[in-house]
Amino acid sequence: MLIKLTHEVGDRGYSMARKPVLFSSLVKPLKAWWQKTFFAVGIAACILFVIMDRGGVDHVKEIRINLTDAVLPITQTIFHPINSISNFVDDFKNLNQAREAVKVLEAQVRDLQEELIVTQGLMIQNRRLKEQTNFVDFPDTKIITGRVVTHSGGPFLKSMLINIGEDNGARLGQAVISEYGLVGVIVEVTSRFARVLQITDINSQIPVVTENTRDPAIIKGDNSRFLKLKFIPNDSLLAVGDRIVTSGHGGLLPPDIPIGHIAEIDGTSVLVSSLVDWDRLDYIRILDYRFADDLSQYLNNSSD
Amino acid sequence: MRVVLSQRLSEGFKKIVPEISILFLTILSVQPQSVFGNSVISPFLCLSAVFYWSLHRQGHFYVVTLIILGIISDILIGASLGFTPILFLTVFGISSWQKKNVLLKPFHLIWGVFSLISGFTFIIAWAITSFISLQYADIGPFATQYLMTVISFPILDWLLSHIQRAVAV
Repeated sequence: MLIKLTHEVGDRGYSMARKPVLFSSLVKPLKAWWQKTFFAVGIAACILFVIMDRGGVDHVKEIRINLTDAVLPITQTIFHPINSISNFVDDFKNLNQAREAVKVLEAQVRDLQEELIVTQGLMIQNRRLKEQTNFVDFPDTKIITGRVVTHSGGPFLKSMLINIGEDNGARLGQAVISEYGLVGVIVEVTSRFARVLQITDINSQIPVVTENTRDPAIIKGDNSRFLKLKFIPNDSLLAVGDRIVTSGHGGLLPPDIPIGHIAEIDGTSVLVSSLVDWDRLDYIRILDYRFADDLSQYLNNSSD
Repeated sequence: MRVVLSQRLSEGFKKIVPEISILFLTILSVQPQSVFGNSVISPFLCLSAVFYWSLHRQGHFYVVTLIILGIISDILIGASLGFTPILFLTVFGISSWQKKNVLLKPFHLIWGVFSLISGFTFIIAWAITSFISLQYADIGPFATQYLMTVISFPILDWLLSHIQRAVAV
C-alpha cells in the first residue's frame, strides 16, 4: 500500500484521527509549486489586463462597467452606517457655530438682494442687445445634481464615482461642476453610476481661455493639486490671479465655466490653482450640454 | 447543532479576517469624507495590510484573493484593471520570499524592510502610471504617498496585530 497510515495519540491521551502522512508530503510541494506558478501567471495576467484596459478593448470595458455596478452598492451599504455617524458628529460639532452662521448668511442675503436688482436690469439689457444683434446663443444647459460616492486619494489617478448613471441622464463627455467651478468630465457611465476624470488628473486636457484677455490655452492636470497651462500664445499677457475659464472650443464643454486662478508664472511654466474645494467635495452637478449632442450628431451624419 | 454552526461560522470568519481588513481599508481610503480628506493624498493603507498579512498569514493568503481585492480597489479608484493587483502581488511575492529572514526580527527592522518593499512597489506604480498615460508622471505625489504609507505603518501594524490576537488567527 502506497499511502501509509499512522496512528497518532493526542495530548489528552485518546486516539486522534488518522493522518495520511505520505499523501500530505506529496501534496505540499505540489501546492507550493502551484502557488509559485499561479503567482507568475497572476502577474502576467494583470499586466495583460492593464494593457488591454489601456488599449480600450471592449470586453475589458464591459467587465469594468459590470463590476462597478455590482461592487459599488455593496461598498455603499457597508459604509452607510459609518458615514451616517460621521455626518451626525459633524452636524453636532457645527451646531455651536450655527447662530453665527445664520447672522453671516442674513447679511449675505441682504447684499445679494441688492445685487439681484442690478443683475435683473443687466439681464434685461443683455436680452434686448441679443435681440437687436440677432445673436445665436448656445442651447440651454440642463443640470443634474448628485453626490460623490468614492474619491480616489492616491497619486495614480484622480477620479471619482458619482451616483448619477445613464438612467438619470449621465453621458460620456459631460462636464461636472461644483458650486465653485469645473470638477471634471465624465469618462465612464454605467446604468447607476458615472466616473468623473478630475481636471487635476494627468490624462485631463481641457481647452480654456483667460477670462479677461481671452487668450486660448490648454489646461492639463498632473495628479497634483495644481494645473498646468500649456500652448499659451507668445504675445499673451498673463498675470498671477487671472481667472481661467473653459473656452467651449470643440463643442464638448459649455464656455465660461470657471476653472481656477493663475497661481504662479515661472518663465513658460504657468501653474493654475483650481477653484474646487477638493477636501469638501460632496454634491456635484452634471451639465447636460445639448450642443455637444447636436455637434456629435452633425459629425456622425457628415462622416456617413 | 447551533453551537456547531456558530463555531463553524466563527472559524470561517477568522480565516477571512486578513481579506476583510484589506477590503475595509480599501473602501475606507476612497470614502468622500474620509479622515484623510479628498485632495490630501492618503496613505496606501491596504498595501501595508498586504505586507502584514503576507508575513503573518502566508499559508492562507492566496494569490487569487489578492487579485480579487486588487481589482475591487481598481474599480473604486478608477485605475486600469490589474494595476493594484500588480502592486499587491509585488509586495506579497517579496515579503513571502523574505519571510523567514524578517518575521522574528525587531520591529524597526521589519519597518525598514517594509519601507524598502513599498518603495520598490511605488516605483513600479509610478512606471505603470507613466506608461498608461504615455507621459512622465510627476513623482512628487508618489513620494508623498510613499512617505505617508511608511510613516503610518507602525499604527497599522499595531492595529492589525491586535486584531490578529483578538481573533487568534
